[in-house]
Amino acid sequence: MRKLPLYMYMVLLLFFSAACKDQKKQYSFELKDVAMFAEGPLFEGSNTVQTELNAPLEQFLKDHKLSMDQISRITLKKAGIAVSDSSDFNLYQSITLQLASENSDMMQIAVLNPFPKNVQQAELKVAGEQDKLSEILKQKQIFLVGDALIGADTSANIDFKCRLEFEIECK
Amino acid sequence: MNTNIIKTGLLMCTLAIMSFTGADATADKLVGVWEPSNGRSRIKIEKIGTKYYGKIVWLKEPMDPVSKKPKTDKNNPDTAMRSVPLKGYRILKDFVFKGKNEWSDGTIYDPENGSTYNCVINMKDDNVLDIRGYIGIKALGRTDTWKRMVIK
Repeated sequence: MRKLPLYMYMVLLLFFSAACKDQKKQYSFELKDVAMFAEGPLFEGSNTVQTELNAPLEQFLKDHKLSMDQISRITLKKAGIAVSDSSDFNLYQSITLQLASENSDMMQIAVLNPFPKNVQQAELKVAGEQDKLSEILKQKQIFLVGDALIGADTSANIDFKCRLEFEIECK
Repeated sequence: MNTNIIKTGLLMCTLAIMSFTGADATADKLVGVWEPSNGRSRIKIEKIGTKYYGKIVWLKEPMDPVSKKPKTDKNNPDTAMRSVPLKGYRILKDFVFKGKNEWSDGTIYDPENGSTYNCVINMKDDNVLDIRGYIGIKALGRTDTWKRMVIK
């Protein structure tokens, strides 16, 4: 019987190792209608608004019968905000969103600067570097922090809803 | 005898609650508006959850001399975030109160060069902070003195 050349064994080995490697699955996950509210009066300059997100991935993991350890990477794909009745987006000059938690570092996730005029909703530019995002979202208590730059003193509230669309990669 | 045990238990609970409240009040002394020694900005430190964060609320020169527009974080290593305005920018992040007038485990960001440094804050008195930024070990760093804007 004719012997296979050595390089053929190598090719076959590579083929099998690639085929046996764990397949990664990607899921979409959305945090929608996250209410952000700060009561007026507001002053010219940067105003902080924050909301607490409790174990945001818990339901997603249940629905897909996954464990936290299986998540290898989370990426924010889209971030949007929509105005509520008592707010006035025309006062906004910019808005920056961040995520923070007790056991991980705060991370800027999205920004909109300058803020467009006469709109009810807007899409933000998402961060390019998101290495820390998985670590933050795996925490049980997370804060979504918004820094709204406002052009003038106002009696209006900061009152809008956020929509964050993620891609979750699992082992 | 049972009454004594209950009384002792209640006293210990009260003391424990009082000590926690005292620690919180001491930690929160950091909250306020502070001015670095160069006087070119003012930083508002606030508490989010259990940690402390500081953002720029005033700039002596808020406009970019080239673009004639409000300054943004143009040196951010993440190019997608270079449009974040410097006014409102959080340069102090994730500080934890360690006791003895020290807040550490945090970072300070220098918008002039887009670099982030480890940082420790020491409160010299109610109105003066020593802010030490460093890379790796504390000995290799630089300390700046910040003053509280509204004197306590």
